[in-house]
Amino acid sequence: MPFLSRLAGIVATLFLLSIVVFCLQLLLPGDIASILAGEDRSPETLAAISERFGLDQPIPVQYVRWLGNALQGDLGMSMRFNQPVSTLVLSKLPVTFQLATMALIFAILIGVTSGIIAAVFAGTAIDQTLGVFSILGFSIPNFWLGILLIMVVSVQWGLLPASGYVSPFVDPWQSFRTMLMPAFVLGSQLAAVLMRHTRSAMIEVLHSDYVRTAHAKGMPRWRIIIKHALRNALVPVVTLGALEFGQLLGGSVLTEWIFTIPGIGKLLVDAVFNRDYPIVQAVVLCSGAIYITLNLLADIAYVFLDPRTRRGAT
Amino acid sequence: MSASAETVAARRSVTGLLWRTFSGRVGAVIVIFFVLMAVTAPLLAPYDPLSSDWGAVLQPPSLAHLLGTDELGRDVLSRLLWGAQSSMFAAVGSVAVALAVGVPLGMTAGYFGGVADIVISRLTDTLLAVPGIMLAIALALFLGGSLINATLAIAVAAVPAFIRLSRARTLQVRAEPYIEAARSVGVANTRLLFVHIFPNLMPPIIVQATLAMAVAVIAEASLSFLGLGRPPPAPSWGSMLTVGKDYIATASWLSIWPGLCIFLVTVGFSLLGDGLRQSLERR
Repeated sequence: MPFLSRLAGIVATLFLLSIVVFCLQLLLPGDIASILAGEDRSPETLAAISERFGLDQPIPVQYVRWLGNALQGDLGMSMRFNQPVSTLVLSKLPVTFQLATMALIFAILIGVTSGIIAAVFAGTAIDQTLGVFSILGFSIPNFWLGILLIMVVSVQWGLLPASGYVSPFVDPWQSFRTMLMPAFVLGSQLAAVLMRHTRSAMIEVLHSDYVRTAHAKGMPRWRIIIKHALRNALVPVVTLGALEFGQLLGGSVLTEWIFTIPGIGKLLVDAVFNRDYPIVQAVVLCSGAIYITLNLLADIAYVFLDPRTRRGAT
Repeated sequence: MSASAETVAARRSVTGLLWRTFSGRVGAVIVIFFVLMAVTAPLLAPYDPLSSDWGAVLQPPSLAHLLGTDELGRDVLSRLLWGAQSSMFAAVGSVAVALAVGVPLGMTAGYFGGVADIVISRLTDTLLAVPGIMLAIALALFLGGSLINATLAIAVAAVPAFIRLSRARTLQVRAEPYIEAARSVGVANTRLLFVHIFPNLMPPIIVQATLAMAVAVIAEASLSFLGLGRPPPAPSWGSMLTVGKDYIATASWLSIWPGLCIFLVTVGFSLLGDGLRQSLERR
């Protein structure tokens, strides 16, 4: 039953998301047919466009028609590229997934490690220094960090390429090199968030009774930290990481644009500059759907990671 | 002490306790500095931020132009000072709108429950499903590029956090014995909500509002960076960075200063929020 109600909730959220995305076009100042017509705004052209896209129909009818098409994978035509929007979005998704996955790995490596260190040395200068880095990581705008890294690492030192994309299937090493800086930029904010969460979860676990018992039994400190404390502290952190993966898609927008990576983030920015509204709607819809799916997967992962939730569910 | 007297005391002590934490003090000083910068821009700016000097294009920092000039010969320092107004307006404006919409909705969901709770919570989940910056970009694009529209777009993206927070806190406060007692003697729902529950939501809401301002500063800069904020030639830190991006190799000062300002304001609001949170936890 809980699973069914969760599923019903997801369907309802997706339905509301589709309404929000459809309603975006109602915010456009002026007539949609005129915008779609471009320079040729003769009454005949406007009438033809209105009829073709059903713009002369009442809004609920337009929505039902739009939703029906969307459910069949038809999210409209790009006004700029004159190609199906769904084809464009699907072709860019793997690139963004590659970037987001690398960023997530970076964030986990940096965030969880520094979180453990901060918790073990809680209240000391090490903890405070890491805390400062966490605030810096959280506050630095990723587009500025990207510009600074290009300025220093690429332009001055010539160590890594400033922009571009190479598929890992063509040249894995070059692909890794081109993605290194963007992944670091994209993952820096998440690393700061993960550090804070790991630190507080670890501190809580380190003060629990079973850790104290392990101490009393003479177990080495490093073993207590790795085997007992970290395992339990990581449960909420792993779930958070999975949820934040969706947010990485949001962060990819400016990162991809700065580093000229052809993912959905850059597709969105290009669509903004070209006023290609169907692409913007499709990217928002897909990002939301991906986030909702990841949310569900995180719930399932949580049940597997923490047996207590399994017992609570039954 | 009555409940309302306790609330007044709590509010006063939140302001006082802010100064007890180091991060709170540093954050407050940074934020006050940038607020003053925005307010006094017309007095402090050495040049007109819009006037071009074609004889001083892309000049590095010098005594005549302390932070250099841009590709149109405009003084970077003057544009930075004026640009602070956009950031502060977006930060304060978007959070004010998000508070005005989010808190009443969260209180309604938490207090009345039932259908109101289901509808509001589902709407919150929907807005949270789309990454905030993507939602803000889409809204700002469809509304049209302007500072007001960018502020509204950022506000919409910020609303769900306030709904969730005020809903959760209302659920807690609603279960308190004094609310039960007030209800049993016939106090009206609106009076209960605004006189007894609302003041008790304030401490966590203030913390969230401060942190939301940090996010709003970055969001405004991102939207301006994409040409969806204050339209050019009006100065904004984000649009200054857009220009700077094209001159990374030859005129690095165009990227460094506006980025540094965005970064410092964000740090300021984050530290302020952190300080407030620490103060509340210590209490």
